[in-house]
Amino acid sequence: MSVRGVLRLGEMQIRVLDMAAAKQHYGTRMGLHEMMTDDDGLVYYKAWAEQDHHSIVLRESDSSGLDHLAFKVYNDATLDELEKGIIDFGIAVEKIEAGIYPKSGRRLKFTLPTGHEMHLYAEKVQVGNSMGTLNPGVLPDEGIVRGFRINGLDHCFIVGPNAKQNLKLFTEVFDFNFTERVCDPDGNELLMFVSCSSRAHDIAFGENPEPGLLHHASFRLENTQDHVHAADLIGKYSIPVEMNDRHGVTQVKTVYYFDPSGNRNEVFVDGYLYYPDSPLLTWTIDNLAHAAFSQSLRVPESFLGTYT
Amino acid sequence: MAQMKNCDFIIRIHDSEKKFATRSGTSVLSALMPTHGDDITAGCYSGGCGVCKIQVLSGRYATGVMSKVHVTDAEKKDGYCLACKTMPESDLIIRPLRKVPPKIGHRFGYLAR
Repeated sequence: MSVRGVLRLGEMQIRVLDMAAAKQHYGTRMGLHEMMTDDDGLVYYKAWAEQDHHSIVLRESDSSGLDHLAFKVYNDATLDELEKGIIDFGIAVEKIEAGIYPKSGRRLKFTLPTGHEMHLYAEKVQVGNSMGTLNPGVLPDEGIVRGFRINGLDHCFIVGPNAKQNLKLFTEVFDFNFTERVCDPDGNELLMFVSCSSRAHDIAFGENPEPGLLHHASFRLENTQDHVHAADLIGKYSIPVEMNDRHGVTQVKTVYYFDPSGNRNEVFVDGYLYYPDSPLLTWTIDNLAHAAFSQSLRVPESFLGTYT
Repeated sequence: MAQMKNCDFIIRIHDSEKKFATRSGTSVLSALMPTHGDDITAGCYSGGCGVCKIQVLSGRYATGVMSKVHVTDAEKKDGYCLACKTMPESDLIIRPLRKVPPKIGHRFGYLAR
């Protein structure tokens, strides 16, 4: 596949209630690398394998949740094309100058139909993964891969009203592929999964009356042993776990846990390879147990009821 | 020989015969969930999602950091708090607010109400 246009989820800015606790969680426990603290006290992190300067930004606040999500696009011309598309879709776009967001090129800023603030950007300072680009080898120095051994920020799941309008925007304007859905008995989509890559989802949308809420931020692991290792650390440090299971939807092996502010995180491994000619998969809500947690077939009441 | 206490505090649920024993250092939610899951719902265990909101009607307790979206400063003065961030410092009487959404099956219409 030739990936152009929108590349990946490149950044999430997450509100936390206690920065010291959050830094211990995302930095010490999960093993993300702290890159900088800006003048406003926001703390920036990257996963070791990511090339760009940061992917997670933490902001201390009196409520938890998501400030914004941002996708990186292929190049500056892509921003111009997408800006027109977003405006034609009926959504107002604010242009943000380069440098306003640290280490970042210019951005398009707009509000999704579900009420979430989203950005698109083409440039972010690349700091690399510590191995360089000339004869890089295969393994970073000891201590670089650490904590949960997370390779990168992967996707997020957001909920709000008009989720189907998000689906329309992402598939029609951003050229994502509609990969999987969970439908009610009348065939209406409740949960929608879309991809701009060879994975089964780069973002998911859920229908929910209250706008702008975060279901989870998800991080990619390298292999099954690292998944077991992460789950063992989650237990060791008494991090609250919601489920350790496999999703029917997307087929990933998952652990859902919460940060110290109640924001849901996921680490996952596996999942099938998606191509643009892969068929749309449909799950019916009466089969939710298999769709959601295909090993235990148990869906915690909190899983589709609590958001931040 | 020192005798091991089997509880430090008794928590009672308002308008109910239910009461249960807990130890110092255990949150109200962690104390309730294993045996009283019908009275309260657990979410994030971290003060962020708000589903375990209760009102403490009597007793002393300490609270950790809680999202102000779910417990405002004014509510906090009236004894409202999130059970996951509430540590008893005496016997308590609590009222779970059941800010619990209907069961998933009911919410999404595939189970009879």
